[in-house]
Formats: sequence, C-alpha cells, structure tokens
Amino acid sequence: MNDVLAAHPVGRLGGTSWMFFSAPAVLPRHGTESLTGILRQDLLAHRQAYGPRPSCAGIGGERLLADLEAVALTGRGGGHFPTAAKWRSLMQAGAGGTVVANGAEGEPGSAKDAVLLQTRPHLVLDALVCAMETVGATEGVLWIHEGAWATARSVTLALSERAAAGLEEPPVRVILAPDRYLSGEGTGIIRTLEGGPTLPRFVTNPARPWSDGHRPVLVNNVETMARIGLVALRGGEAYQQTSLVTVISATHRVVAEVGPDVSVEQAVVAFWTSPDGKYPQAVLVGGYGGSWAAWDGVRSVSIDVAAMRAAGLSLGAGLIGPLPATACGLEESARLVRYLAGQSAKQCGPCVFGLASVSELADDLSAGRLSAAGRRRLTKFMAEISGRGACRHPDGALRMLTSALEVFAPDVAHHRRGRTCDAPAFDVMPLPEVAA
Amino acid sequence: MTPPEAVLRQARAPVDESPDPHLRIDPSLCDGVGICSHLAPDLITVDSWGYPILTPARLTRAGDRRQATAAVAACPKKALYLGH
Amino acid sequence: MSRESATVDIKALGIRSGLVMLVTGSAVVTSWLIGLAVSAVVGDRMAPWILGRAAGITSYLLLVGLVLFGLVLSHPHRARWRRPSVATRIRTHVSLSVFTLVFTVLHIVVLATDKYAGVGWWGSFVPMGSTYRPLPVTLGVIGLYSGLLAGITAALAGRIARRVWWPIHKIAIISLLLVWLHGVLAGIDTPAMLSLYVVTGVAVLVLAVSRYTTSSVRDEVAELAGRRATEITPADVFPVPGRADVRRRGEKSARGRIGR
Repeated sequence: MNDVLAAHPVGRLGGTSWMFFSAPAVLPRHGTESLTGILRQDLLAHRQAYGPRPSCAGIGGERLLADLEAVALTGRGGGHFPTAAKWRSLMQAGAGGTVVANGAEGEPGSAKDAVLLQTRPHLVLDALVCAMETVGATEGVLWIHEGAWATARSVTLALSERAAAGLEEPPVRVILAPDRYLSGEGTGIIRTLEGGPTLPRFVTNPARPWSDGHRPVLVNNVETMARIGLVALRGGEAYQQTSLVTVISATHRVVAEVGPDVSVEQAVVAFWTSPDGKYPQAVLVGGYGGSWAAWDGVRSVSIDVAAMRAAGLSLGAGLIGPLPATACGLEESARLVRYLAGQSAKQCGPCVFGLASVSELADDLSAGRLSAAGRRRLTKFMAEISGRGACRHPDGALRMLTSALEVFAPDVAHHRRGRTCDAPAFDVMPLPEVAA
Repeated sequence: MTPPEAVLRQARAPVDESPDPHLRIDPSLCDGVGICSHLAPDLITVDSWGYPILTPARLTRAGDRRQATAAVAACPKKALYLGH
Repeated sequence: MSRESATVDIKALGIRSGLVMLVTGSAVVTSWLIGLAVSAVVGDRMAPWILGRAAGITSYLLLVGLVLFGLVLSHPHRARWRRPSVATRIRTHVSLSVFTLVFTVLHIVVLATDKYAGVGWWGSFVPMGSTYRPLPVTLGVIGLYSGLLAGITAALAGRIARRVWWPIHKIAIISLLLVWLHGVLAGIDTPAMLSLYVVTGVAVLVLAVSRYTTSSVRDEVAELAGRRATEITPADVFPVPGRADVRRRGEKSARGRIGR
C-alpha cells in the first residue's frame, strides 16, 4: 500500500517549511478511522511545539484580527471568504454568540479535517478559544460527523486533557451531525443550534445567517481554525501559504501539506498510486462538486488558491482525484452526480427533481443510450437548475458535470454513438455506502 | 406635501438603495403550486418540473410590480417575497 | 403604489368578470338558438328539458376534466410527467374552470325557466326548494356553491383571497362528489349514462387516492429532518468502567436536542 510513498520519499515538497505536518498522512480509501504517518500531539506535545496560547481578549484579539488580515486568511470550505471580515461582522452583531469549528467535511474523498482533528486537536481548540475571546462569544462548538469516531475520540480526549491541565476556558461542546454530505453546510449548523433540523436553509442576508432573536453564530472550517491557531500562536510573520490536499488512490488516500510552488504533477507523483504506472488522464480538483481538469492542462498548475483560480479551478476542500487512463470519466462523473443527487436535502424543487433528472440523463450518457433529444434535455435541465437552490449543492454537481462534458468531450462523442468505454477501472472516487 | 418636507424625506432616504425591488424566492419553501406563474406571466416562468424561474431584473415598471405583488400575495407557501 | 395597484386591480377584475359574463351570455344565446332548432324537431315541451340535460352532462364532464387537471397539478409525482407541460396544465385548468361555469349557468338557466321541469329559480338556488326530486337537486345546489367558492377564491388569489384560497380550494373535490351524486340520482335515464358516471368517477377516485396517499418530497424532508444531531461528552467516548450510565460506542447521547 505504501509502495509509491516509499518510492518517492517526499521530504519537504516544494521547499516550504511545514506548518502542520512533518510527513503525509495515509488513510484507508473509506472512512477516517485509521490513520498512519502522523502522530497525535497531546496537550503537552502541543505546548512544547507552539508554546502557551496568548490571550485573544481585547488587545490580543485586535492583534489576531490584524494578523489574519495581514496573511489574508480566507475560508477553506471552498468559498474563500476573508476570515477577518467574517469575524468583524459577527462582532458587530454583539457579544454572547457561538463559534463553531466545522469538521463535518461533506466531501467523502477529503480527509484533511479529520487528520487535523485526530493529530492536531489542540491547534484547532486553541483557535476556537481565541476566536471566542476575540468576537466575545460565550460558547464554542466542535461540529463533526456522527460516524467519525476516531475524530470524536481525539477531540473529546483533547477537551479532557485541557480540563485536567486546569485551563480556564469557555465551554466547548462536541456535536455529532448526521452522516450526510450536507451536514457540513453552515446554514444547517446554525439551524441545528437554533433547535431546528440539520438541513441547509435559505438566508436572505448572508452576512447575518442566524435568525432574529437567536445567538449570532460564526462558522469556520477546521482547516481555517488550525491556520488561525498557527497565526495566534506564532504570529503572522511565521505564517506560510500552504494547502492541505487529499490525494485519492484506488486503495488509500494521502493527506499532505504542500507549499504554493508545488505543482499538481509533483503532488500526483508523490502521493498517488497509479494502477497502470502511467499519468492520469484527468484530475478532479476541489471536491465532488469541483471541476475536472485534463491532465495536460492541470499538471503544471500550482496547488495554490490564486494559481488554481487563474486556471479556472477552485481548490475547494483540497481534493485531488486523479482519474487513471484505464477509467471512464463519464462513467465516474455520472456516478458522482447520482451520489450528489441522492444527498440532496430534498427541500428545493430544482435540486430534488432537477438534479435527479440530470443524474438519470448522465447515467444514460454513461451507458451509451442518450438520444439526441436526451442530450438536448440534459443541456436544458442543466441551464434551468443553475443557481436556484437554497444552498449551492446543485450548482456544485452541475459544475462537476459541465467540466466532465468538456474535459471528456471525445468520450461524449464516443458514448453518443451507442458505445461505452468498457473501461477496466471503475469506482475511482470513494463514496460512503449509502442506500440508493 | 410641501416642498421642504419632500426635500427632507429625500435627504433621509438611504443613498444606495434603489426604490425598485426584486422578486425573490426561498426555494426551500416552494412546492411548485404554480399560481405565481399564472398571476405574473411576465415575470415568472416555470421550469420542467413546475417550479418558478423568476426574472432577475428589478421591478421598474408599475405593471411588473402589480404582477409581483399579486404573485407574492397568492403564494400559499409564502415562498415569494419582494426584496433587494 | 398600493392605491394605484388597488385601482387597477379592481379594473382588471372588472374586465375579467365582464369577459366571463360575455362568454356566458353568448353561450346562453347560442343555446337558445339551438333550443329553437331542437323544439322545431321534438316540440316545445321537451326542448328545454333536453337542452338542460345536455348542458348538465357537458358541465359534469368539464368539471371532471377540471378536477383531474387540478389533481395532476398537485400530484406528488407531477415533476416526473413531462407532458403536458406544466404551463399547459395550468392554462388548461383555468380554461376548464371558465367553461365549466358557462355550462353550469346554462344548465341552471334552462331548467329554472322550464315551467314543466318543476325546479324553478327557487329550487335552483335554495336547498330542498325544488318540487322535482328535491334531494338530488339539493346535492347539485350545494355542489354549485362549493364549486363557486373554490373557483372564486382561486380567481381572487393575490387580490383579496391572499393565501386562504389554497386550503379552500381543496373543497373542489367535495363539489365534484356532490355533483356526481346529483348526476347519478337525477341524471340517469339510459344504462350508457350510468357507465359514464362510473368510469369518470373511478378515474377521479383513483387519481385522488394516489395524489393523497403517495409520499411526497416533503415526507422525505421530514425523514431527513428527523435524524437529529447529538451532543457527546468525554464520558460517552471514554466510559468509566462500572458506571451505570455507560453507553456503548456508537450510541447516542441521551441529551439529544441541541438547540434552545
């Protein structure tokens, strides 16, 4: 399983100093219950590595906000919204709010948040406490999936360690969200904290996603929190723009931290196990709601938010999913659309009916039985759904499928003539076992 | 209304707020009843599944605002609203 | 803006009611002419009766179509049917309501003015006011009122009916049931008529049962919403041996609800 990793001892990939990890972490293809390559830092190890946590109340908070602005830290959920601006809008809403560290990454392929919470829980908790002190919140929440037991063990143990060390900190609750793709959606988290179901909701003002009469809530992704922790503990000067990526292979996944000068090709060579010893034909970038990119176009692109954006891609949840030459991109995309359609919260017509219809047509295309009329319907349906959900779920699925139709255009022509690829490799991207 | 009052009211009004609203929808409330597209045919069409597609334009004309108001008032799911 | 829109609303309402009256009026005039032709063939005494019956049956069939389209419009599976398109379904539903009204008016006018029928104006609008088959006629009268209520509130939706039209609209199915009974009890003179009522009745019944028993997307949302997030504490994950409240791995915290 570690052949490729042994063959390519990665070292300091890209020449940057590591912010989080001294080596890549290796996880199984499914789930995050076993992880090798990185040891967990308990409170003692954490304090030895980073020193004591500075107070973020008052002037400390102002300094932290200035540092976050100086390093231009943005959210890592995919939206890339400036973190400091998000904090300031919460501070305007007044004290007594809730800060959430969102570790329920919906992306079944991505494992960076689980790796952070299992190996660097105190970095996230330091950041969570700092965020609460800065914005004047009285409650902290660690939000994780209910199936993520290794993660739950690590964070609850970390909270016990902090309590045993006598740290005087505001309370942090650990909340387990249902195992669904959309459980990490920020509006659904806020809805849950207000006593509602864990389902996304429509917000009229994105700057105030909480309901009137309820506590203001700040939701930051776990990776963003860990980066805030680094800035709080080491200061803005020591911060480096790295990215956490999850590279998917047929048997396992690798979570690694890479610098902005590392190309997709370098990461794929270092962290991907090719089933046929060849380069992939394309790479799925960002997540299952991300974009496919042809290998020749993406291989030299740097793994960096700005470079990705310039290439028309988004690093999103940090997923790097190489598609081997032996697999069919359309078959894989149809499978992912089917999964995403099934993970709809079923609240909005365009998502529940539209995405299901698009998924059926994508299956037809993959199976080589899409008629010319079906092709026209697919185009029409995709245009109709775009931008019409309460959350961005259908848009992500459409983005992925749109990029697939472009990147795998020769395959589309081939499939349209009633043939399929008969590709030997299938089910490239891992999906949780869900009832159809 | 005397002229000074009018001037005063204008001065108090927020500068960046256009007076013309948009027709907006909370798609999670909509059940695709379809009455809105019947009452506001110039502003609302329905998609292939019967759910409304709203005009992205501001409601600058009085006729458009009238249609929009009727559609908002008739929506049994309270999914439609006028917003900015 | 509100005053302006109210004025125009009333104006638009006037135009629409005028149109309906115009259509109704011309239908009455046309029918009267047809009635003259029929009376020339079958004689004065039977002509209004035949015309009244014909208008009643037509009105019944239009009402069946109207309710069928309404059930299709609100059926949980409506999004899966591609034809007719949703826009066509709505247009057809609205048009059928106008034509149903027209033929119902004709049915009433002809039979109320027929001095041999024994119904009269009183019997046409007042329950048990008819000397001819008072119970079946009364069913028709109540069916008329409930149908008018469902139709008029829908026509006024967005104006004065606001959002109450939707719950009221569902009484349309009661209207059809009453009209069906009215037809079965008072409108059968040949076996062919009986089969007409049976076939149309079964069609509406099947669709109505399917519309109200098929689980909708909202049921799926409720199921998803039913899976709540739970809070855990270190004691849930690292149970203290021997304690009674120890929960096994995977079990949810007893605290359950998250929000306040």
